[in-house]
Amino acid sequence: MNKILEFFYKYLSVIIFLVLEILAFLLVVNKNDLQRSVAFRYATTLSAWTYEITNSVTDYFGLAEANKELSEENARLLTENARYRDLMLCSDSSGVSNQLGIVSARESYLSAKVVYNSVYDLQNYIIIDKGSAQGIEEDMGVFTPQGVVGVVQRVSKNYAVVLPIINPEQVISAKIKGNNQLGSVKWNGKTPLKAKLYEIPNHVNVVAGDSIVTSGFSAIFPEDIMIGVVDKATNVENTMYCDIDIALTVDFQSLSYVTVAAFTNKNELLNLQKSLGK
Amino acid sequence: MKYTIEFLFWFVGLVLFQVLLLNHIQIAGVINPFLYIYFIIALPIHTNRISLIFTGFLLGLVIDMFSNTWGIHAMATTFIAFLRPYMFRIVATQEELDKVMPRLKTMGANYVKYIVLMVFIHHLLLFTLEAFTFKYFWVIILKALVSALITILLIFTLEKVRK
Repeated sequence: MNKILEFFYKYLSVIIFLVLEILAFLLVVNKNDLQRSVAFRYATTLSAWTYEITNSVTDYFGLAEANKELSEENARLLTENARYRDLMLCSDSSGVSNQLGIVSARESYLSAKVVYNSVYDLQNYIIIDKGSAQGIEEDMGVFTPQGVVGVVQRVSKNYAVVLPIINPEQVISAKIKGNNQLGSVKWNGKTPLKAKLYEIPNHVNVVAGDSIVTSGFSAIFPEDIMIGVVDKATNVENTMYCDIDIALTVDFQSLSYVTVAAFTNKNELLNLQKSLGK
Repeated sequence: MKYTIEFLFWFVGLVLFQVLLLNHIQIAGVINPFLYIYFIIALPIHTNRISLIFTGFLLGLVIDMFSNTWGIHAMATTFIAFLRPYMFRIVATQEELDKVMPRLKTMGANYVKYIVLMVFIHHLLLFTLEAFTFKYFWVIILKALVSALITILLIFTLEKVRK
């Protein structure tokens, strides 16, 4: 009996030792900046890898939807292309074609596939299968033909973490299409279908059905990408701003392919803004 | 009870000495002695394992709090506190194990072995956690060796001064 107790006693100390060491290790990787970033890098690679494996199975079932989206996007691009071609042909001055040349050099688009996507958590995030090796950088905008998805937050070599609109830390600069009133879109934290539009003054007339699009001021998203549609707008007494609920146009539950917007002159713009002391 | 109060003083004294003085000593970016672990080293031989481990964790955590290195000292110190009983089994004779306190006077060469092992393992683990990579393996080894040497010299000085 004594021997058994002795054995248990010895074993207990090992358990306590392991628990305390794990506790200390959690402190190390959570409270120290260097150690946290190293741990995050490994964790991202590892989780992306496992999700990719599980996705290679489930992916098959989303093919029909993905094809539909791609064909829609294709159609939209073809229309746009046709419009520009018309413009070029119609105008005989070199001015227009020059302008078009600047536009196409200023931004470029990359297509990426979602390998992980969380929708029902509070801290939702998305991982896509393109990273620094493919030219993805932090703070690039991510969207689909339906609308804005989020912004790239962290990048590893072959993967990137996207902070979607449906994450409480994400704020996206937006405007109301039509009257160009600027505001910012933030998630309400409840359902992946809804978000809120802030900083719209009370005097602005907002009605249900108004489109909310990106402002294009931040060099993250191009201008006029759909974010959502106004669901309900109420004037709150004694405050300066309207309370606006919007319905997001992107269906976060069935994301598969996304487009990443890359601005070639982004750093130049950011440096210029910084020099203003903002 | 007599020991409890004595060790309480040692705890406070060593922590203060470490955070107020030794933490600010960093010669050539390499030498960085951690004398505070003398507390773990000097506890009575028959301190039970569980109290040893908890003491190690607490001591490391207090040092972490003052040096803003959350968890790093706690991990290293808990580890050597866990190893201590095994160390005695490796280096000390049965006769020495019957004594109350591990001291240089009574254990001689075996005490030196014990100190060297404890200090070096602690320092190596500490600097590895601090760097958090194996890329600078040799630099870490060098840092651990040099700093351990200084810590060991400080411990001997303390042993000589103590009655």
